[in-house]
Amino acid sequence: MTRFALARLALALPAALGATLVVFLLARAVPGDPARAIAGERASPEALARIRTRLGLDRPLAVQYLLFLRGLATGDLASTQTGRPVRSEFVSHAGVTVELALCALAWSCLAGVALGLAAIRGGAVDFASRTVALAGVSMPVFWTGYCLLTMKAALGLDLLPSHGRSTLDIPPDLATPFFLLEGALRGHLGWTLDCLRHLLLPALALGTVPLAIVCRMQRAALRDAGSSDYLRTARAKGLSERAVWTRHALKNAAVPVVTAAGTTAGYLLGGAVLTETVFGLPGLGRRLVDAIAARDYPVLQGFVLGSALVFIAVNVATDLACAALDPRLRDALSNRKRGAPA
Amino acid sequence: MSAMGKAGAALLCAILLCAALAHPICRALGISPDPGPDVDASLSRHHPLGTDDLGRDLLARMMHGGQRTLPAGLAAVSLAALLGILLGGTCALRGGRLDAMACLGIDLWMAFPALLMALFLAACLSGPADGTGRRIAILVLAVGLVDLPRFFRQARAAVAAELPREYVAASRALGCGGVRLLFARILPNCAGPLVALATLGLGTSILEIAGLGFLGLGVPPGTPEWGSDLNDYRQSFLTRPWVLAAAGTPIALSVLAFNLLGDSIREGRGHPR
Repeated sequence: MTRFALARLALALPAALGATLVVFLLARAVPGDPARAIAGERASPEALARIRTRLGLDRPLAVQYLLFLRGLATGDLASTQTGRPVRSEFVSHAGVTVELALCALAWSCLAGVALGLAAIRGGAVDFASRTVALAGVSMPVFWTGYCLLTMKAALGLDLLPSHGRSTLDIPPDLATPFFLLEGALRGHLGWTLDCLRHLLLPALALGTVPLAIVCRMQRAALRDAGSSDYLRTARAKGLSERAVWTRHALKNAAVPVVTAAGTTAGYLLGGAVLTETVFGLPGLGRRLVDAIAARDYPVLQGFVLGSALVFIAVNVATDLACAALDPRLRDALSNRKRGAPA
Repeated sequence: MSAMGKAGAALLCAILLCAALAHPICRALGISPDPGPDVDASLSRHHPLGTDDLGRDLLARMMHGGQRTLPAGLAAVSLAALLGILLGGTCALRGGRLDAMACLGIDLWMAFPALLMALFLAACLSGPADGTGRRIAILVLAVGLVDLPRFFRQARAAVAAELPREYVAASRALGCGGVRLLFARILPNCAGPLVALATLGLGTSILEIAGLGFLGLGVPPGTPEWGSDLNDYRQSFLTRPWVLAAAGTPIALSVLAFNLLGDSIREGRGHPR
């Protein structure tokens, strides 16, 4: 397992480097002059030349890429809107986005597995789970968010806030950007509970698509497991139907579910942009939307790259989790061929 | 086709008809998506879904919005499918270094969350003075490029599975090669999964285009489009909940219709849900 983990991590490094190259090339391929975008339409040629020299735009492309990597590593890449290093902006805004994504993933996985298990019996429960799965992937997350806010107002649920991250006076100089963790570690459970209260509705909205995907995967995996030899053996040994499903089938059906949960990471990162806009959460999504309005290209580049690096890390974690659940997958994942159907 | 597939097809036909015949329907009902005198009107016989703060009828905007969102989604999927199938099929046929380089590029491209990359591309390509046509073209390009990898991988796998078949060897022996072998011989035999993927992809692309419109990267202000309208009306959802239904229901129903249809096609190919 250790060798597999090291090999998997080694594969992730070129992917991460490749992601930086893609972002760099895309930014250079975009039409328009970055110097003019910073200095404005009426900037003098001398001012434009100074900006180009400062940004290294007059150097060869390979040198510009190395300068870009250095800027990422040292924090020199700065926002044109706030002047702060992009790296520290990313870290400070990532906290609420990660908390939101984890809350959405947690409830959607639990509910998806439960729905998938319940659907084995077929009939009305199976129909209900398929309907939930279909509705989940069909509704835009921003519309789901507004529907939840409207329902909250109609039902008078004032305990659930409609915007913001916390109503308490949490100091800004915490060690990490994760308020949930900081509250638990420092014994301020009030912080944790308040932040969870603010995350409840956004996580419900964001988790509808992962719920649908996990439910569908679990249902299919359990249906495939139901006709397998090892379950027939378990029944022949006299195990109760409940023990057959929970002690044997569930563990073997967990691998596709873990894979499905991992693949929703990309959706969660993108969906968080929309959810944070609806609920006014100060996360990566909100900052990205502000950067778009202000044409803050360093922040755009940095945040898209940072999200890709997080996505790569989640894929590595998913592969490691699958290999831990089913050791037979270690060889399969090591020799995985490209081009498998999506 | 299953009952759910038929329901999806019927729903899709209804939506397409409403969008295509938006102008005559609105004229018959006496409603308009343009600013009018009835500002913030509630539900009534004259305005079935009410009006917004500029007197624009919400039902009319819903129908006219479909004339932009639906074709944009179709164009995005068409672009992704055309490029993905051409590239994936060619890589499967040629193999070697081209295949390795293309797969590496696609793997790198897939490292980026789709909506974030589409957002990045749309933000970099669009400008504040862009017209409706250019904005929609940018949305189509951005969403088409981020959806390309799925079609590449599906086409590559499907074509690679067909290559050992006898009809391919026979076609090559008869001098058929390259693009003609790919499009005239191989793809017709493995089109089913690609059609299912394209149908399901239509729903995804509509969600992505509506999402980009919601974030302000869609059509210019005032032009009816489902995602942009949802952004415009979000201040009035709490006081006038039916506006929420008018703005978001078309998106949800369209995506549902494509998902039902795509699932039905996929089930017909032997991939049970």
